[in-house]
Amino acid sequence: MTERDPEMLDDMAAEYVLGTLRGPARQRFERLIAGDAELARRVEAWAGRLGPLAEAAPAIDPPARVWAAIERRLGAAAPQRGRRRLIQFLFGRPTEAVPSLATAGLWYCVSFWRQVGIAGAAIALLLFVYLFVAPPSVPTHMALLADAANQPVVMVSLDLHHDRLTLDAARLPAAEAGKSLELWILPPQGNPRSLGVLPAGQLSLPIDQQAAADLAHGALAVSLEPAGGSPTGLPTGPVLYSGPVLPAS
Amino acid sequence: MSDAALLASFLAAAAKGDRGALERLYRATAPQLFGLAIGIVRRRDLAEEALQETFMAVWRHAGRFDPARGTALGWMARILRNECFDLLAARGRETPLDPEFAERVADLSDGPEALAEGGEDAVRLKRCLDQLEAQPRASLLLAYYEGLTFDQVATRLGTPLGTVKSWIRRSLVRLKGCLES
Repeated sequence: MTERDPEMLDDMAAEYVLGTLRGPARQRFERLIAGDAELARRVEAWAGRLGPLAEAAPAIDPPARVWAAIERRLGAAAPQRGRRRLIQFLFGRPTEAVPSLATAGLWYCVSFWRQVGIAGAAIALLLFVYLFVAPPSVPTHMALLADAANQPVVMVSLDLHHDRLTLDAARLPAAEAGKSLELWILPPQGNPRSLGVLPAGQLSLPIDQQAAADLAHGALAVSLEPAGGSPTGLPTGPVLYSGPVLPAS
Repeated sequence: MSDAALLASFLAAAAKGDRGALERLYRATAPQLFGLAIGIVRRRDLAEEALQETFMAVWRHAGRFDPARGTALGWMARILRNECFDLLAARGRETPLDPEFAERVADLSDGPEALAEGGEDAVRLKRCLDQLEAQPRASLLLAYYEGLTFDQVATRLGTPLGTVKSWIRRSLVRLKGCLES
């Protein structure tokens, strides 16, 4: 706007406030004001100059329904602060730079939403633990993993209807330092497929449909691998525990 | 007209969410604003709509009112007139004045005498308006109180468009000079 004649701008500001600037020109001018502080200042100055004209307007009582409609839109009757209506409590606009419940509705209260955010994250974490760590309620298949001496070591529960595998790795003897225990599917045909390195405690992991199909007629095994798991994608260390998958009932 | 400072205090309280203050503001200003709206939109239903929208906007934006830059009524009137212009743009104008208001909507084009009883700003504005010649002043006041465009003022006064434009523009410049002197 700087290249424009300031007098012309002032004329336009005056005509905007007076109201003779109308239609698309008015809308264009409003867009200009939004992006031009100097122009906005001119408009404000003109609004201040012409504002008192309103005082001479004829007073005509509006019908009661106008205030009733406003009140309805505001969300009904509680004129005092401290007895603000629910809608105001929830959505009242902030009147300070850092809104608090005293000055703004819940919707605008950063501290409140911060707490909601933290609580939400906590709930999500609990849900995650529940869904991914808690054992499935109805196992469809079981696998009893036994060691080289054929002594049972750990029971693996499988819910193949819901593609989920659960085992309590805490029951397994810990891997020696610098090593990891890795869980494998041994399908009826083909190579073992890794289900990942076993964590220390309860494990509940989702399995894909192919894995579920392989497991239904296959077996599970645990091998000793370098820390972090087999570098090749196939078992490289000794198989410590294994057992066939059998229907649970 | 109520005390300008009182209206400003209602606005300040409304900005903090005080609905009672908004209601007091409404009781104090609605008749004047309704009269202003009738003058522009000429119809009861449109004026009611403009008044309602104005108070919703006042409620939302009360915090933006700055008493250093003008009166509370002037600030609300500006919102109201914008609402009226939007209504006119959407529905067209040149509706004859609703006859029920014919007596109450005075012709203000001679010069709004009521300004003399208004606040300090109003009195000063009236003094400056009085210095304008009759026809240019009438053009400007028709534009303000009836929301007429240059074209419509020209038609109303039976004066060429170019003349009306220069009357109004010159009047605005003179008003500014007078108010700042």
